[in-house]
Amino acid sequence: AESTPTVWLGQEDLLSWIDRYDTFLFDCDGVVWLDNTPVPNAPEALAFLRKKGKQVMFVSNNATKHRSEFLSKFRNMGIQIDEGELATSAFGAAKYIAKEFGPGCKVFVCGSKGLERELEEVGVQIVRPDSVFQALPSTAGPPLHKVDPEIKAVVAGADWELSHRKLGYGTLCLNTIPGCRLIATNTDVLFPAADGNFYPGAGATVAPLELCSGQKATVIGKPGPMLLDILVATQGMDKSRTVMVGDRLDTDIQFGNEGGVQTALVLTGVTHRDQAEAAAGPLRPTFALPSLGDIALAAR
Amino acid sequence: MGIQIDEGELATSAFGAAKYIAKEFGPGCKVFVCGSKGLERELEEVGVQIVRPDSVFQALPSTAGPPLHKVDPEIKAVVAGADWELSHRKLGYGTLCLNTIPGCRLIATNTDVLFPAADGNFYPGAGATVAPLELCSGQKATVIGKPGPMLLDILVATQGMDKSRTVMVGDRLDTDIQFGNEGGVQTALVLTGVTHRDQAEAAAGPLRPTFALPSLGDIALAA
Repeated sequence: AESTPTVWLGQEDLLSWIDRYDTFLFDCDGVVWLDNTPVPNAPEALAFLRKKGKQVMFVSNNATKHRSEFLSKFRNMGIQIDEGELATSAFGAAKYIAKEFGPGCKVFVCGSKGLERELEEVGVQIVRPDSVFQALPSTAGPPLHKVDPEIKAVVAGADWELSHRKLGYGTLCLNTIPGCRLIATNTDVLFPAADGNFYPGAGATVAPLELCSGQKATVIGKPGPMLLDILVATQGMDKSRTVMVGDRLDTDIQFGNEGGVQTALVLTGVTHRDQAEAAAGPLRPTFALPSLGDIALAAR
Repeated sequence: MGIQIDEGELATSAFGAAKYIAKEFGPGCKVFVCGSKGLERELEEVGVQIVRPDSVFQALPSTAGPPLHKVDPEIKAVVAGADWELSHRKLGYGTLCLNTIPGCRLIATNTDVLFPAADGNFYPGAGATVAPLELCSGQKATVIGKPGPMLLDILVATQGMDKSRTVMVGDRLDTDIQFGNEGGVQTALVLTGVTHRDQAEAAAGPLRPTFALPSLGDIALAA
C-alpha cells in the first residue's frame, strides 16, 4: 500500500520473500546490467528464479535497440530469455501505432535505428524526406520542408542523430496535418553512455516537439501502463503474485505500483537509499534490496 | 527598406547576450554556443572565445550510440538561441558542460518557440534549443531577450530616454507588451503580426497593452 513504509530486505529475508511471487518483472539498465557489464551475480539470480519455476520477464524504456539486439545482450551474459518475455518501449510503440493508425500507415520518426526497425517490422512506413536527410548545412535560415499530408504520427525517442531539420519537419507535421499525433517511446531525460557520462535521451527529443506543437505526447514506456498490458496479454500473470523490480522511482516503481503489482527497488542503478526513503505515493516501493545479485547469494 | 537607423538604436538579443557574457565572465572567457552564426559573431566581437570541439563538429554520424565528448573545463557558459544546425552532438556537449563544470551557466538569447521562415511556415526557434538544455541540466536559463528587461536597460544606458514619455510598439503580448509594461513604459499592440484582436482583448495583467492599433503604417496615413 502507498502509505506503508518500504520494507528493506536483507539477504536472510530473500528466499522466503521470493516465494510470495510467481512472476518477476525486471527493468534492465541498473538492475540486470550496467552498460555492458552484468550486475554482479545477477545472471545467477535469474537462473535460480527460473529453476524455482518462476515466470521471468523484462521491461525496458530503452528504445535505441531492436529486440533482437537486446536478446543478444542477454544471451551474451549467459541469461536465458525468450523473445516474448521482453517488452521494450520501441516494440510497444510499433504495436500501438499499427493498432491506432492501421497497417501500412505513414509516420515520421525522430529516434534511433532500432526504433525504426521495430516500426517497419509491423508494416509501418517511415517517411524520409530529402529536405531532412539530404539537405546541405544551412547557416542562412531554417531548411524549408514540405510535409507528406498522409503522415499520421511523429514518433519520438532517444536520437543520436537529432537535428533541427528533424525537429522542423516533425513540428510542421504536428502543426499542419489535421489529426497528426505525437507518440513518444519514453521521456527519460538522460541516457547513460559507454563513457560513464549522461547524454540527452528521449526527453530531449520530446520536449522541443511538445513545446513547438502544443501537443502532449502519448508516452508508451514506463511509468505508463502499456508495456505491462502487452505482457499480461501475451504471457499472462497473476498480478497479486507479481513483483516489478527496478532502479528508478519515477519510471519502474511508479509503473509497478500503478499497474497493480508489488514493487521492489534495487540500489545498483540511479537511486540512492536516501532518495528511496523520501519517496511518497506511487513512487514508494513496497520493498527494497541492495541488488538483484543478492538473490543468488541467498540461494547458495 | 529605406529606413534610417543608427547602430546604437538597435538592441538585439544576440548583442545583449554578448554584452552580458563579457560583463559576467570577463573578456576572453570561453563559451559553448548552440545558436546561429550571427550570435557567434556578436560574441566574438566582444572578445568571447567560442569552443568548437571536434567531437561536435567533425565526428561522423553514429547510429550505435551517443557520440562521446570531453568538455573543456574552462567553459563558463552554454549560450543557446535559435539554431538551424542544432544537433544531438551540440545538445550532448552543452548538457555535459552544464552538468559537470562547476558554475557553468545556461544563457539564452530568447525563448520564442516558433520562428517564421521564408516559406510562411513556422519552425523551431530558440525555445526548442533551450527546452532540452534546461531539461537535461535542471538549470533555468538566464534569458537575455524580451520579456526580460536587459535589452531595455541597454538602450536606457546607451541612448537615454524619459520612460514616462516612451512607448513600446509590438505584435506579441508575451514578449513585446510584457517587456514594455514590466519595463515601466507604455505599450501599444499592432495587429500586423502574430496577435489577433480577440487575443488582445482577452489579455490580462502584464500582457495587457495600454493601446492598440491596426498597423504602424497607419501613422503615415494619419500624417
